[in-house]
Amino acid sequence: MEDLLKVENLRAGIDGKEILRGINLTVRPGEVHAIMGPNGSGKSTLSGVLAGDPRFTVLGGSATLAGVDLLGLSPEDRSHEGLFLSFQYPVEIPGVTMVNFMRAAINAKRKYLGLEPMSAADFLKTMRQKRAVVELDNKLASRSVNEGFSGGEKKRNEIFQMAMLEPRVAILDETDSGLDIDALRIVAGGVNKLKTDQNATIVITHYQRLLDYIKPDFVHILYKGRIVHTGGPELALELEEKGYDWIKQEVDNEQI
Amino acid sequence: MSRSDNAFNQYLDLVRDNAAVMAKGRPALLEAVNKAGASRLAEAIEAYKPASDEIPECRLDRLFAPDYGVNIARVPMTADVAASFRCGVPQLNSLLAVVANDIFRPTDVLMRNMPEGLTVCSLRQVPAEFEADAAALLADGADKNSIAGAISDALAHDGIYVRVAPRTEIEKAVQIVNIFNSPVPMLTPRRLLVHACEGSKVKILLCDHTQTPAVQHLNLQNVYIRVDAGAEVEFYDIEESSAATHRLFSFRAVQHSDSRLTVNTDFLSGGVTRNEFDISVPGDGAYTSLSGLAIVSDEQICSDSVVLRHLGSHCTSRQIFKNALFDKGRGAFGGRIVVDEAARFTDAAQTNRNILESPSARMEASPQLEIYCDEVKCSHGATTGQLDERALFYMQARGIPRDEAKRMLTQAFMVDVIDNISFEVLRQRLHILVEKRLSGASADCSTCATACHSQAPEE
Repeated sequence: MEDLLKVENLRAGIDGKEILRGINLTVRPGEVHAIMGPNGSGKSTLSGVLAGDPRFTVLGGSATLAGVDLLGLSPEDRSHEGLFLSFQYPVEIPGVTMVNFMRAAINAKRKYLGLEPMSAADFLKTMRQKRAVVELDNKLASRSVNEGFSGGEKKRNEIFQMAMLEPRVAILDETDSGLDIDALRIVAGGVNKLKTDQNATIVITHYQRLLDYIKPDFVHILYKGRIVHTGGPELALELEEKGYDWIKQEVDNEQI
Repeated sequence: MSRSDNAFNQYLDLVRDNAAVMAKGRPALLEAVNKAGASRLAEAIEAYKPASDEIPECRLDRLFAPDYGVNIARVPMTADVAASFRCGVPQLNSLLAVVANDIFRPTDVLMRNMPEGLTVCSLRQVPAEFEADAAALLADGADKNSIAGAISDALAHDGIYVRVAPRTEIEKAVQIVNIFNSPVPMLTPRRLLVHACEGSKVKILLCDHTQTPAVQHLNLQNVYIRVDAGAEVEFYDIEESSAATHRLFSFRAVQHSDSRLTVNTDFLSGGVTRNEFDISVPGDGAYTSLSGLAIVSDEQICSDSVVLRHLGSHCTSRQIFKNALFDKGRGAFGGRIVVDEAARFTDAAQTNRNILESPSARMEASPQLEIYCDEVKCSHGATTGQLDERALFYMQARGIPRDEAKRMLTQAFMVDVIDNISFEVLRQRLHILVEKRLSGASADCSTCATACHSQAPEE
């Protein structure tokens, strides 16, 4: 099967400090990958670098989405090519309504693909359908983007946007943080509904908890900017039980 | 300063050399203003010193320096623009008056639909019963401390007098469209006097247009509004002019007890604009709202200065001015709130926020409070910064191109100034206009929010 996302020896940093020290990751259609790791291991840097966050500098390596070089594209073009990042901290944008924000996003993608803008009626219909995926209140659509949203609403709003944009690869960065158990169920349920055999999901998380709802095919452990362990779902359970110390020891001993 | 290199003397010479031309058909009302202006001008020229903190292009000696023609012989515009001008949007449904360069032209729409209790006329044709009122407004509204005020008075040969009778509410907006159309550089003195009598209500919309964008123009506009006890005035001013247009706009108002005054000024395009607002509130329990937005691009300049004097007690004032500066655009905001000893329980707030969208854009803000009374609540704040990079990246990550994201964030930045406008048709129109302006649409009559459009005069 064709690789959807292929990351090879990716190195990146911030403010002159190297954080990712050679990441290798291959994601195929229909797969769910979980990336776990202790604080500061580079999980959010990896998602930021793939999405084109200008705070990070790429130092080497490559990343392709269905054969297209991601690192040479602007963040908006990465999105158009089918990459989606669910933010750990969704940004509040006072004065820009969710409707206008989403319409601009959808129509920019359609323009990129050489399609006509979506009609107002179709757009509102799609909004209605996709809101249902995460049980997002209609009232939120007329409010400013994320402004005054609760933590749970912000995360549901991320998955709603994912539903609207229908990405090929979605990266969920700590989507479970700040969620109570009901919100977690709704968010995870939304992600599962959007899963097809054509797309793929990368779940970045600290805890095994989310993986009870979103079942991964592969679990990777990120430590000191490298993927140091890859296994099946059982690896997440092992981490939950034993913590990260055994991984740290294993890696640190190798380095000596 | 020697006589030859003084920008102002040309105007003094002009009125001295053309006394007979100016006197022709001139009513006593304007004669008094011209004489008072000329005598103040001679003194003001001697005393003139530019303020050290002004943007150089906004200095009065720079603004008045070009060799402008002044239409003292009252030659009408070649084409009968006033007759062919009409409002293209029925919803606005305003009472339209036109100032063709410097000459007032009432439209048929206005004359046919003049509501009971409303007077809108030229200062050359004030009805006898209101002559004393107009004379008092002219005297009270004179800008006595500025050389620009002296020139404006010395050259005044027309103007608009608006009176709203006591306890009369004018539902439709009085819309005044200033049109500039001239083959040669020209200074146009324009004057608007408004008297909102006790308990009356009126909305006034002033629009600046230029039909000959390449010709240098100095728009010397004076507005004076007297808001009597319990009266309510909304005043909106939209400038959409050309890079060759310089505008010196002096707005003065006095508010009596329990009155309300709303002023909104929007700079959408122009060359060099200097707006001065001077509002005195001797009455008790009055409410004042002042707001403005400016989108300054290319090499445009927009400078706003506000002096708000609270003299009566229990008054409230709110000010919000927002500027977005692109390219080599420059802006200035000077805001002074003066709270007099007698102005107990004043509640005054002023906000100025600016966004620099280019490294070569400049903004200077100087908010000031002068408080001579203890029992007051006053606040002011000024911030100048850039668009939020996190918000830009978030929008880009959703596929919105960076330029469009910037435009959306700039529009969002302006939104509270626009939403503050209670005149609904204008508010909706302004949303569209700001969006168009930010997306780079040229600012001309066809894109103007107020949607008055001129038609070519018929042969």
